[in-house]
Amino acid sequence: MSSKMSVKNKRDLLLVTLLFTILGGVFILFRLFAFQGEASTANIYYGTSNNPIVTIDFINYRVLNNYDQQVPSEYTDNYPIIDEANRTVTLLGDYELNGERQIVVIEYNFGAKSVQIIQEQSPNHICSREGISTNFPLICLPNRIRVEFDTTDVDFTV
Amino acid sequence: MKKAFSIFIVLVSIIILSACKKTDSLYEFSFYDYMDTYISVNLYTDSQTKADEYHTYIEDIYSEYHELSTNYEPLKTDSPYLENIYSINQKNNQLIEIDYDLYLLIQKSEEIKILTDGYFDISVGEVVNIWKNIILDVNGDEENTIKEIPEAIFQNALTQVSEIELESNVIELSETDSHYYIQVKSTHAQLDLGAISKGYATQIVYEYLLEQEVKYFSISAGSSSIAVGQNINRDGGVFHVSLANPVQSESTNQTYGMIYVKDIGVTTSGNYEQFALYQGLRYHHIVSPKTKLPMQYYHTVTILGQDLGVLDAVSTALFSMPAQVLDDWLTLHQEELGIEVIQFNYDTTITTYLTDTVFEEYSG
Repeated sequence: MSSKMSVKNKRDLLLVTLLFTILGGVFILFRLFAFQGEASTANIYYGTSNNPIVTIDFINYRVLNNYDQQVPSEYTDNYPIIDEANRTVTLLGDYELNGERQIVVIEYNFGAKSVQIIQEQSPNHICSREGISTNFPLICLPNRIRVEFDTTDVDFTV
Repeated sequence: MKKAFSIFIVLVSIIILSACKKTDSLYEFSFYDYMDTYISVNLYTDSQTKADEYHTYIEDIYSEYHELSTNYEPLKTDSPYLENIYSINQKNNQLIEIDYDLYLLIQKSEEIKILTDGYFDISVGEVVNIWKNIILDVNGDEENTIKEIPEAIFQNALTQVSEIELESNVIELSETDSHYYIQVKSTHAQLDLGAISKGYATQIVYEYLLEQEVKYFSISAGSSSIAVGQNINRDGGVFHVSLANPVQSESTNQTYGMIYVKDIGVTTSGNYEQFALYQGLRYHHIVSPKTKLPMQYYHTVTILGQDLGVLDAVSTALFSMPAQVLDDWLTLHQEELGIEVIQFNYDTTITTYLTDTVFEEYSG
C-alpha cells in the first residue's frame, strides 16, 4: 500500500515538475521574444482616460504635452511638469500623505527608449520597484498613473 | 519512463537556453552638450570595462569637435586647443597656428568644396548668419510656428547679402615643421563648419567602433544623421529607417517612406526644421554659395554612404544644386563616392539614385 502511494506521489511530483517546467519555459520565451520590438513612444495616462497626457516620442526625441492634468484648485502647480534638462515628467498622483496628493516622477531616456518611475509615494512602491522598462507597462496604484509603450517597425527617422 | 522524462527535460533546457544567444549586453550613451543636438549611441559589447572605454572615447571625440568647430563661443581658458572657428573668425588675414585635427577637418572641407564645384563652401558663414537670424527673428520663440517674412525684412536681407562679396579661395592652409596654420584671406569672410563637423566627428566614432570590432551598434547624431552597424534584434541585421515627411499636414503622415539599411551612414539635409515663409516659399538655413540665397529645389535630400563627413557636406551641396546640375554631378561622382540619394523635390515628387538600398515609398 505504502509502495503504491509512493509511486503515485512520485507521479504527482513528476507532473507538477513538468507543468512548472513548461510554464517557466513559456514565460521565459515570452519575455525574450514577445516584447523584443523597440518602443517608438511611451504614453503616460492618468486615471481611466485613454488619452495620454504626455507622449514621449523615442523616434523624434521629443516629449509632447497633449493636455494639462486636471487637478483641484488647492494645488497651485500645473501638471504635467516636463523637465527636459533632467529628462523627467511629473504628474500628480492620487495617493495622499497627510491629506495631500503626492507627485509621481517619470524619468525617460531617448537613447535607450526607456522610462522609469523614479519617485512616487504608495504603500508598496510597486511601480518604482519595476525599475527601467523598455516595453512592459508601468502601473502606479493607488496613484492611478500608468505608462504604456507603443511599438512601430521604425528604428530611426532622418 | 524515467529516461523519457530526462530526455524531455534536457530538450526543454536546450530550447530555453538557446534563447539566451546574446552574450553581449546593450550599452547606451547619450550626449546633450555637443554639436547643438542630442547624440545617442547604442552598442552591444561583452563587458562594462569595454563599454566604459568606448563611452570615454566617443564623448572625447564629440567634445573635441564641438569645441573646435563652434562659431558661437571662444575656447575656454583651460582648453587644450589652440584656436576654434570662433577665434579664427576674429583674426581674418592673420596667419594662425591651429591644431592638427582642426587642420584636417578644414582640409577635408576644402576638398569637398572642389568636389562639389563650390556648392559646399565653409567660408560663406556671413551669408548663412543673415538667413539664420531672419528665421529666428521672424518665428520668435514660439514652437511649431512658421511665420511669413515681412516684405521690408526680406528686402533688407537681399540688400545685405548682395553687398557681401564672396571671394573665392579665401582659406589658405599650410604646414611648417609639423605645425599647422590657417590664414583666412579676407577682411570679412566668416567660417562655418556647421554643415560638416557633426558628420565628420560621427565618422571618426563610426570608424572607431568598426576598428574595435563592435558589430551591433547605432549612432544617432541629431534628427538628421545616423550611422549604423547591424541590428541585433532583426534577422539580417537591418535597421528600419523612416524618412521624415517635410510637408506633413497632420500627425499621421510624419514620414513618406522607409529604407532598410545596415553598416552604413544616412544623412538628410532639409528645409523643414528651420524656415520662414516668403510669398509661400520656404527660406531656410541652407544657403547656396552660388546665389547667396536659400534655394527651393528640394524639401529634403537624403544621402547614404560610408563617410558621414562627406555625406553631411555633400547633402548640403546637393540641396543647392538645380535638378539637372545634381543629376549631372551624380553621373560623375556617385560611383566614385559610393553614395545613394533620395530627393523629396519641392513639387513633392520623389527622385531616387539608389544602387543597393531598398526604399519603400508610402502610398497616398
